[in-house]
Amino acid sequence: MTSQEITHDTESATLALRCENYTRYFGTLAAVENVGFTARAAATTAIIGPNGAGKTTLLNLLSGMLKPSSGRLWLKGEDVTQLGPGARYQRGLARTFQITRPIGALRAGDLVTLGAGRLEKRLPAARDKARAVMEDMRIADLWDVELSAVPAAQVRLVEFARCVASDPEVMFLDELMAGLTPSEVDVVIGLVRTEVSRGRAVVIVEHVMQAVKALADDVVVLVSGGVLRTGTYEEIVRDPKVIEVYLGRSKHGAPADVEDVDLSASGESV
Amino acid sequence: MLKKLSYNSVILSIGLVVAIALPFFVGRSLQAVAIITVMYALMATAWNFAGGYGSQVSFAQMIAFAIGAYMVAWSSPNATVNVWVFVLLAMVLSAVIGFAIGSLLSQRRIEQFYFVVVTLALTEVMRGLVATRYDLGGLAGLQVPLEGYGLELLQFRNKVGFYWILLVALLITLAVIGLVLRRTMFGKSLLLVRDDRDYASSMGINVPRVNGLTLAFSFTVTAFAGAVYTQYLRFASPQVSLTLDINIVILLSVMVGGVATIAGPIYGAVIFIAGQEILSRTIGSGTNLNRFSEIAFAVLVLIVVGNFPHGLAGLQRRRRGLTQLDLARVDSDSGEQR
Repeated sequence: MTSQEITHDTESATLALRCENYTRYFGTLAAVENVGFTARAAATTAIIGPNGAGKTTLLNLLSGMLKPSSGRLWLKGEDVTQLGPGARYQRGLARTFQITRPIGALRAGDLVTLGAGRLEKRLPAARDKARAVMEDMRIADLWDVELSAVPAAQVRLVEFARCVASDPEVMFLDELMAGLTPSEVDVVIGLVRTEVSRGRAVVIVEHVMQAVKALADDVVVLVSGGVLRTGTYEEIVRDPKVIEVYLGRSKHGAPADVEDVDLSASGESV
Repeated sequence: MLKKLSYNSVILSIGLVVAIALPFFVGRSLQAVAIITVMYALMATAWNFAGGYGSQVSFAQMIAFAIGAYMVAWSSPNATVNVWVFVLLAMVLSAVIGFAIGSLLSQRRIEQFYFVVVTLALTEVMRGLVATRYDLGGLAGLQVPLEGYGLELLQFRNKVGFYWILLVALLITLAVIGLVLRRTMFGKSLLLVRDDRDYASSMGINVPRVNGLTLAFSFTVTAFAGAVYTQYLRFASPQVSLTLDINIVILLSVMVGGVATIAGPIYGAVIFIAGQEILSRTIGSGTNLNRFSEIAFAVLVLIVVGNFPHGLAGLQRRRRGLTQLDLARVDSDSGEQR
């Protein structure tokens, strides 16, 4: 099983991120418990699971917004468990946010420029880089537009561009595809592929199975705060345990193929 | 971009011409109004940097103002050292205190409403300290003796001198703020820190440092205004130099003029100081009617704040957002660059 080999191959140069025994309690409730997985450079790892599985908590733990109750995290071989989000970001671990709070007055171009500022400390250089990234993504028209005036789907792209402009080693994409039309999802899939081809380790937290199927090299299925199963997409969609979690025990017996069912919809309803 | 620049420069040129010509065309009493107006414009601009572009709704501005005021008032009787040294000293001290307040409160996540309360309390503490200090004149305050005139003494036989010095300070402040906002990474990070500090710090932005530096700059400018005002009045006291009234007028000026705009605080100060003065003169002063003018003015403020949430500056500021129609076009021929 490929995923098992990867887990043991900890010293591999392609291993960008490794977390071990990550646990976080809220009071007595374990929101995330003993989660361990790895993310390879130049590959996409998808974290999926029904709502309440602990995906968001895990993402907040990995990006440093939350501190774990126990567990360790390595970024390119360096133990970053104790570092805050800013320090992790400086070391090349970037994430996108599902922007809900208004950061409306800022221009899209300025936001991406701030992203580029991770490595380009001087403003003109950062601005050039930001512009190049936005042109690559064909959203350069939004450069001078205040974020409050950018429609939701485009805000996602700006946020993604901000992340890419920081030139990260590891990139977490938090439900980047949510709410996009299938054709828009295809565009974003293409953009993510480009970043993977540049050698970044991309970790997606995603409900949209179209994207998981197209992108994921490795899939981590999270259920009730723990890892239910890791494997390739083909492996996990045929795993009876995964099917059960997503669909529940059916009176009529489990469906033959999980792909026949809209995983994202059933995931939402759990 | 070009259109916007030329528009701004037109407004700036007109404003500058009016500001420069004004003292030559008005009488002595209106000159006094002009001096106070420019002083408020300066302080409102400084406040707006920390409270508009930043997130720090400061009621501690009078601390810096008083440092400026008392530094020159206290030093002037023992004037072996030039008054400008004390002005600079006051600015540096205010910067340090501003940085300390801004960064410490930010570090402890004392924000928004709590920030207001704490800065109010700090002002009261400062007032208590000053009012009980005998060597600072206590409640009675300090007179500034007149030792002569000249720029080097920061005293002017013709009071218009104070107008010029405040106007120059305002222009420098505007230039600095404009440069910081446009040309530095720090300036770009301000709005992000204001609107979502967690997001900002996840990008490695040192939020307490940003807040500390913004308040430090705001304090520095305010201290200068306090020093000049004290030289102008030749008097400093807790009632005059440490009153919350000034802080409130600063805040209202920014709100009426336009939060987080370059010109807004200036519009606001003109409306507030000059407007109030003119209104009270036309409606009648020294009588009970004067009260009426205050009420009329308050109504005016309510109308502006209620109807133009972005202030007067927001009126001429076309939102640079695209309409849905524009976006459809963007989608079809995206990648095309201006």
